[in-house]
Amino acid sequence: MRPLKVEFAPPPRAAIWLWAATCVALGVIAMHQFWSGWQAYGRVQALQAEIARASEEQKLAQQRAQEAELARERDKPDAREVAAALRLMRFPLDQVLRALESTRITGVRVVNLDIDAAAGSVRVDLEFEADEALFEYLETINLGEPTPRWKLVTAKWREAGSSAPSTATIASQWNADGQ
Amino acid sequence: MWWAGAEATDVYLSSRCIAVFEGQERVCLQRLGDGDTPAPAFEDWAHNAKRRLRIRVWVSGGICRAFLVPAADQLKNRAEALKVAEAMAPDSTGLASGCSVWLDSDQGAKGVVAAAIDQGTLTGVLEVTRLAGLRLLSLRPWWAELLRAAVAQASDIQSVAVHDCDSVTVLAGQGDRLEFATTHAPVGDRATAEATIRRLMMLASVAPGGGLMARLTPDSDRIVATQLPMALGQWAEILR
Repeated sequence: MRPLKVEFAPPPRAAIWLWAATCVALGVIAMHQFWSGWQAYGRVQALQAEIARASEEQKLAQQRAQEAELARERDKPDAREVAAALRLMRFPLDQVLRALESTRITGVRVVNLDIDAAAGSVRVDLEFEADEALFEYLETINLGEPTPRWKLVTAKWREAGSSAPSTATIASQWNADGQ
Repeated sequence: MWWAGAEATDVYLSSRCIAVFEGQERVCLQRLGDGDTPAPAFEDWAHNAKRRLRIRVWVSGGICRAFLVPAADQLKNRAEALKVAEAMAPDSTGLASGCSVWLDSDQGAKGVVAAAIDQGTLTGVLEVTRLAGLRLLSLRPWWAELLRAAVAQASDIQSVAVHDCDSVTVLAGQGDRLEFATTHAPVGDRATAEATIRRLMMLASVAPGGGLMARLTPDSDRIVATQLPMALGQWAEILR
């Protein structure tokens, strides 16, 4: 046989103070968990706002950078133009003009001046009355040059019976340092 | 250890008397008249007891009676078996004024052991205990405690017959099974009790001398007093 576990007493109940202490402890734990959760939620919200702000700022910065890049691209002069401008800036215009102004030969008259700064070349159209005057003009304008800079490019003599003067074109080549 | 029940006060309730034991010493014995219930006497003692006193209440076979609920395959679950037992209890035990039923969890070949307690006594004990501020550790039939002590002493025992002050209870079975359980009450004198036990043993098909017969006296057969919460030596006067 075996024992019989006959029992008519109700199961023991925990003391009220035990229930109260348990409830208080659970309440404290719940409050603590809630407060921790709330703080964590606040931190997450702040971080999300910070991330959103940083993202917006980054987007704006990228936009500004793109706009600046576009502006730079838009405003950037063509390389050839820049080179031409640089050559123009470096072209010894004063030296050319000074050479032309200081050369005055009777019977020779400058009628046209064509300066191509980008190419560094100068063409001068002349009217002359006699060959000697033209040659003298060339010798005079080339005085002081190590090698003759100005060269006769074309010459057209007056035809017999014509009133049009004889014309010639001389040209010279210049670089930035006046050579 | 203070929580282990070693300091608990034992209270025995029957239809003839109530007795209170502190350890091995009986400190109170109050006889009841014919037709009296133990609840008022218990109430008198309880109101004079210390508050928060830890008590174990033992009830006699006259108040809590064993019976067998026949096995029925139609029963679906324990709840249905308990309803059947509650319906059977008044006729099976003679507790016609109302009772509460405890049902064993294991079913034998012939049925399930059940115990029915007088509802008035149960309600009275619980109410008085609550009002008096006592701590009720247990409320059990005394015959179940004797069964526990007998099995602890000899696990192969086939039957236990308990004669307490108002009843005879016989429990019998093989192995771990309990196949026979009944309480006969009221039973007064020793001769009537022994005759009743012999008849019940025959019904249980237990051979003479095959079980344990326990009277709540020092000469109880082979029961070791130290296995019971109350000293058997204190019972002789109760059974007189």
